[in-house]
Amino acid sequence: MKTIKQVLMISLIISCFFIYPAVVQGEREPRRLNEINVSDENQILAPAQYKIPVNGAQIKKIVIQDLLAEIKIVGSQNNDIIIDARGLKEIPKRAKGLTYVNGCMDNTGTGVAANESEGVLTICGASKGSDDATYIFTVPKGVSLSIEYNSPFAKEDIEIKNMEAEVEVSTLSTNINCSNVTGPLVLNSISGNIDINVSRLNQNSPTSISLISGDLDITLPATSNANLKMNSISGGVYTDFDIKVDYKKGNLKRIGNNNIETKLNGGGVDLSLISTSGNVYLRKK
Amino acid sequence: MLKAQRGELDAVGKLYERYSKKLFNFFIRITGNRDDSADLTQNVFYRVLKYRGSYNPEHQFRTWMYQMGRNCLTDYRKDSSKHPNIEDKDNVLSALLNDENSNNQVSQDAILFKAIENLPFEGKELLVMCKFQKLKYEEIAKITNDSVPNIKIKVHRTLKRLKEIYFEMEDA
Amino acid sequence: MNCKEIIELLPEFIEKSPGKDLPDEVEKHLSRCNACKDELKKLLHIEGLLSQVREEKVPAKVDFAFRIMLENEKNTNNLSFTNRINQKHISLSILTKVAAGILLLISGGFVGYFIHPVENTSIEVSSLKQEMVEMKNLVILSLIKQESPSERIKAVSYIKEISKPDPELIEMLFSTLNSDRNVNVRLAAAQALSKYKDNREIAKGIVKSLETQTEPLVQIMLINLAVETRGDDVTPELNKLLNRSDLMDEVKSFAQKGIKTLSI
Repeated sequence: MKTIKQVLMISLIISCFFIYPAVVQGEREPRRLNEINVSDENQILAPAQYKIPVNGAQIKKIVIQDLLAEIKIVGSQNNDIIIDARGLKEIPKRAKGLTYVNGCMDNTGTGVAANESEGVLTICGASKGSDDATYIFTVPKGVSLSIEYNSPFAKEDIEIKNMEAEVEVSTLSTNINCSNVTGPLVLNSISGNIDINVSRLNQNSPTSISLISGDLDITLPATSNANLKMNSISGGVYTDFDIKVDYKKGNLKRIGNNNIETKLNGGGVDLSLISTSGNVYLRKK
Repeated sequence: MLKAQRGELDAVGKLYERYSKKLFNFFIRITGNRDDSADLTQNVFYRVLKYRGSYNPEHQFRTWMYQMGRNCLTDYRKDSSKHPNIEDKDNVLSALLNDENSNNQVSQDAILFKAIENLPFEGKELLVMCKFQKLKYEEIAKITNDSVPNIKIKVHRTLKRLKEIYFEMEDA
Repeated sequence: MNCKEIIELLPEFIEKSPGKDLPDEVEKHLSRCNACKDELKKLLHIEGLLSQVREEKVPAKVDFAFRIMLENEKNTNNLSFTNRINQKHISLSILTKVAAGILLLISGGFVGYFIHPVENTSIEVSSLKQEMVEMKNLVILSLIKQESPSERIKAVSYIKEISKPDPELIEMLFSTLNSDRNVNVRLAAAQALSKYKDNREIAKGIVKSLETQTEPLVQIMLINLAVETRGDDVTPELNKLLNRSDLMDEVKSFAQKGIKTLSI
């Protein structure tokens, strides 16, 4: 009986050693008004929306860089440029007023900086809080797009819909999905896959898509006019277009390489689909 | 002064809009080559631009344009005999022949173009001006500095020759 | 009328009255003569084909080049040149009036020049040609500076149509190959250069470019091209390439195959 009491006493004293600092911390807390509450950083904020105060009609090109989040672009009929951000994490309170290490300062309240100069709108990530977020950019469908997504830390797919002007995307390992687009498309990825569904193929300027190890799956209207160049170095090339293969003469010494050069529907814009080790699928609709 | 100049340049722009297609087709029906025809068309309008002070009303422009076109064609033919043909020529004929959507009309056109290719140059030129460009004999006479009766005879002769070649090829 | 005469006149008849009937004499002859009937049929068939041929569309590059030429004219001050031409035109009307009365005042060549303004002397032709070439180069060189990667690819493809591009354009191709920020544009430049690989200088440039390339697709294309040039500089360059640590497997195997092909 005595020993139990003793054990209890001792454990109480010992636990005091642990509880005391915590209690004292708590008591100290209100005194240190500047101290940051570390746990706040991981809090997910409510979805934020921001309409960029520029005249969409005067914007010729939108460039997105240094943004590691999931990026979706939706083309629209009107001229507004709207940023929708979900899953943003709060930036550290200490960071308020400071510029992010890449030089971009959040001027939209959505974790990105948006700056316009001579008709080009540049959007760049402005905080670590946007890394795991999802961004939906609603933009005028006639604006050129350029997305650099080459960071090894980028982990989400890029999705682009309803765009009727040039789309330039470059990724490292993530996938690119485009639907209801006209191009011209200039896309490349090292190990991501590229899936495209073209509404009608822009005839004014070439489209060129290249991948290294990913697969390219592209669907075109069956009546599309194109000077097609399809090439996979060590992968396979598959299509349901009725292609009369036109192997180049004088290339007997060419190493490997199924190089298909032919005209679709009498020919038209230059369309170049190249993969190194992935497969190329060309479908008609 | 500057305003007049600007007006001149705008006028050239309008001429281009109105006549570039006709001129391009003039060249492509004679040469059969898309790239060369593009070059020739560019060449003529380049001269139109440079010489824009030396012709006047629009109704004379067309005649002047065809004269210019024929001159450029002459230079082109002299040149072609010097340089060997580029391997992948953008040939109207080969485009037609490679078309997988071949139907009767297309193959008839293909034979027609091949037959036209085999016509002597002068006759080909006249045929194109008459039948494709749909120019009247009077205008063709002005363009080529020849008489209407002569032109008529030459066109008819060419038509007959074309018919012979065409049906020979069709039978083959 | 005999067959020969009829056949001679058939095209005339077809032209004169396409829908209407032929003269009675001709009709009578045709009803009896199958050979001539056949001739008529064939001629009508040809006429039909000719009238149905559809017009081709003007290639976009011609429109584009014209726009550039127009812009260029707007910017350069060619007042003096066009003024000179204008004066010549005005003089023409005066001269024709004078020439009507006095025949010996103007030398024959002078008159010839004014009455046939479109007959070019050979010197004029060649200088115009040179200006055309320069204008074309201008078009291409302005396209290659565009922000849009697709337009830069277009610029490269325009060069491919020129059988003997100016050194200026070749230099542009190489600088595009080596430093354009877009992989697809570099690939297009490599493809364009392949057309001129028979030129020793260009072949050397292609091989040298391997030193600086890091994109696997471009490396592979250049290896292929280099092997095709069959130069002495190729194998050592490929060996250098194989020593690189950052080389992708596909590229490695291509380089090895290339060395093997050249050693045969």
